[in-house]
Amino acid sequence: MMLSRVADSLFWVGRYCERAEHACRLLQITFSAGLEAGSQEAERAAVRAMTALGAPPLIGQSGSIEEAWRLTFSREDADSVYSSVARARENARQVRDQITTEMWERLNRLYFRLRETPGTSDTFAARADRVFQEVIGDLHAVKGIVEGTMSHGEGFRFLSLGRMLERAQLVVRVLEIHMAEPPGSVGEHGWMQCLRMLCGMEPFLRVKTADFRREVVTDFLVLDPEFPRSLRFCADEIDVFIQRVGVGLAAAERARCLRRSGLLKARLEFATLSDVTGRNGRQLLAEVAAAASDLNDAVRTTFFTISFQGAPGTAVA
Amino acid sequence: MARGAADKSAVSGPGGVFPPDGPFGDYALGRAYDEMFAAGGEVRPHYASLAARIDAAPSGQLEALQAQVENTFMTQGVTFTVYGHEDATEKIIPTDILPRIVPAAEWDRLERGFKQRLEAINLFLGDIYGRQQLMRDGLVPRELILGSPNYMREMAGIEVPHGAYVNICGTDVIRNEAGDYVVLEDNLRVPSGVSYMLANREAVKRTFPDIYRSAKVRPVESYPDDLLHTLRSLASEYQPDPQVVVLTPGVYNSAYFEHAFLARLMGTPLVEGRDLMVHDNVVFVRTTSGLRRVDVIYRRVDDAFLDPLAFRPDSALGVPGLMNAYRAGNVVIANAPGAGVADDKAVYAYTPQIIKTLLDQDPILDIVETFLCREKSQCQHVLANLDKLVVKAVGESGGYGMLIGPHASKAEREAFADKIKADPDNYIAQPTISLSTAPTLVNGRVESRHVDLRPFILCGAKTTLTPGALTRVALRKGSLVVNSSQGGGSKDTWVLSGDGRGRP
Repeated sequence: MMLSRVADSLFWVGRYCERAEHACRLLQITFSAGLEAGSQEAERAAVRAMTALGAPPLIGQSGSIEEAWRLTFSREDADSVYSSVARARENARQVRDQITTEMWERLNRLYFRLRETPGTSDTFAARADRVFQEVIGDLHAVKGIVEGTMSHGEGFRFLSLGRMLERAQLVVRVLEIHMAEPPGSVGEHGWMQCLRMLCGMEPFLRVKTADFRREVVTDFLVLDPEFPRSLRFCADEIDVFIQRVGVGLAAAERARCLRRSGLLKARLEFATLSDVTGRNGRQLLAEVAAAASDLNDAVRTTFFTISFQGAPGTAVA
Repeated sequence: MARGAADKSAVSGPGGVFPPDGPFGDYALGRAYDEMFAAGGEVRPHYASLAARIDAAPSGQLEALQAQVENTFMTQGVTFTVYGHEDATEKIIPTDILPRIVPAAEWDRLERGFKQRLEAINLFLGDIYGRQQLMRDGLVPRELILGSPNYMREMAGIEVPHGAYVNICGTDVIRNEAGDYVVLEDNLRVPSGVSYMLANREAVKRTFPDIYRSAKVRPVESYPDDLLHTLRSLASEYQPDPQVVVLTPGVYNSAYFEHAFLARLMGTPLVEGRDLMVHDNVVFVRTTSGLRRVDVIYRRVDDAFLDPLAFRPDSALGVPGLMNAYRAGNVVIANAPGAGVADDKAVYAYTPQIIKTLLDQDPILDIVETFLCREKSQCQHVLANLDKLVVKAVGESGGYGMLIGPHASKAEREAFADKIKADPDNYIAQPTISLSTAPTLVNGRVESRHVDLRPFILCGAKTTLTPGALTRVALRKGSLVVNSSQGGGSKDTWVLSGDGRGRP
């Protein structure tokens, strides 16, 4: 038996952890771009990373380190890494009885470290890379601990569902920014950085070799069935978890979730290369974005906000 | 062997003064009964192995162990919330690694005493919410009960399962100067602290594995299991597999850690008011598979907040319609609403008579002599002896609203006298009792600090007492106030299965 409120919180633990990890990776790209000072391509990649974070571009401006520090440690900024981790932890704290001690301790420790060692922006440049490495490492550890210590029941599924839904939305955002530029403007370097933003360089090389043309990279990031940050992989996972939550409900009550998820999965499974190139590609991304947001809504009304209608066991969509 | 070593270092001469360079150099023996040392400075037998362990510890070791335990508590989130601190809302309750030790014979007597007391209290509650014979016979004043803010008319005529209004009881006992245990207070509403009993045990067991093993300490880890059995027994007569939930006010409550901790160890859902709903006088919980019926609610929400339709209409912590479902017999609430009327500080004064009358037995555990300011002659006595007495407001708890006469200034006493005269019904007074002292680690040195004892008694189909307790410590030197909200800490409590002279 899983309380609706608990499922809701676990869903958001998954979401916020994924968001924090993604933000770290984008900030990392920005910082390493700064090392190649003067390279226009590097600067443009950094601008894209910042845009994906919803932040103003950093490079070459005074105060850019402050901005990066703010995006990492700020307690006021809702989009900072700290805020995402704090919210993940707050949600975990609300459901402390539902998660394992190992998971809680790891997340709690990460939270306290971010909280207690923000330092100042002056010293940030020198230690930024290590900070991001550590936070990403900790978040990977949280994932591993969840996988290895938490029962793979309803709670685990809602947490995973939140993570994959968040991931799909983050990937869509990164791809949209790259594909919005006119063909040829992103360039080989730009697409390499795009892969790095999604942690996909090595898996890409293994499948596609060092061929960083736009259609090859987008084909991989949208349609690869095995890479864990491709949209198709996300959609497959979302569907797996959605089919296995709230199974006590009547099929009719889960219909909206199942239909939405099934359509998205099928769309990506049967898409062809021509669906992801050119104008079609942006169209497909818009479809995925709409499906993800609708799915989020469907999950909320089906599982999280239940009210009484007729006999017990009836949920209202 | 170990004992000899301890004795040698601890005792010096008949005055009971410890050598200043020894581990007990800062240890003060005063008027209070000391748990570890007899008046002459001899180590009591059940403390021998702990004394030897302290004695043998290299400099700095105890301090390091203490830091390690605190660190564990912080990472595990064994915290309580301090209200009004924007920046650091979570703190660990200060914990002391040196256990308080209770030998078997003392515990036996305490156990019989607690069970007797709770049995009488449950019968008493059954009477005041039922036939009211005791009031009719004049044993307790009618206005004291019916005028109490904790008396709930909504409970009149309701039968509770097994006659148990109080299912979870945390009675505070102290030791007076003579070494006798006396009951200080019955906590019958939502007593807390049991998680610290369990967490302290986990930590201290690991800190002193050798002496823990040899002392034959009785285990406390069955508490969550016993609690679940007790709660299920409240509905098992009509539900083969009752659904139990723990109702918490939420994550911002100071005892939230404990609520989550108990729910997790019992394997029951931890719910907030908004997770529950009442339909046709039946309570349901919202789940991802729809609505599920709830049979027993272990509530950690105060009476007044349980149901906005019945009590405080502004309560967002409760469940609208819960009292109707309860009155209809479709759900059990533990502890029963209105149980708090019996832990009133004035009713306390009547508990020895209540035990005698209802059980036809002499009380096994004494209470502290209590003067009721509502009685004119007693009030005069109180006003004349304010410098010797502790005066408490009847409705307050947590160490608030009290005057410790001997420690108060003349002006404070006079101001308090005015308050008593203005509202005598609201005050009681007791002689100042120097709580017993126990060894406590203070900045790496072992010093004596005042302690009390809060065991946890469960009552459903049967009454169970876990052989352990929360020992609260007044960490400020000389202080007698042990409440965590007032600078108190806690200790593990070892109940021995023998006299403690276990083989090393």
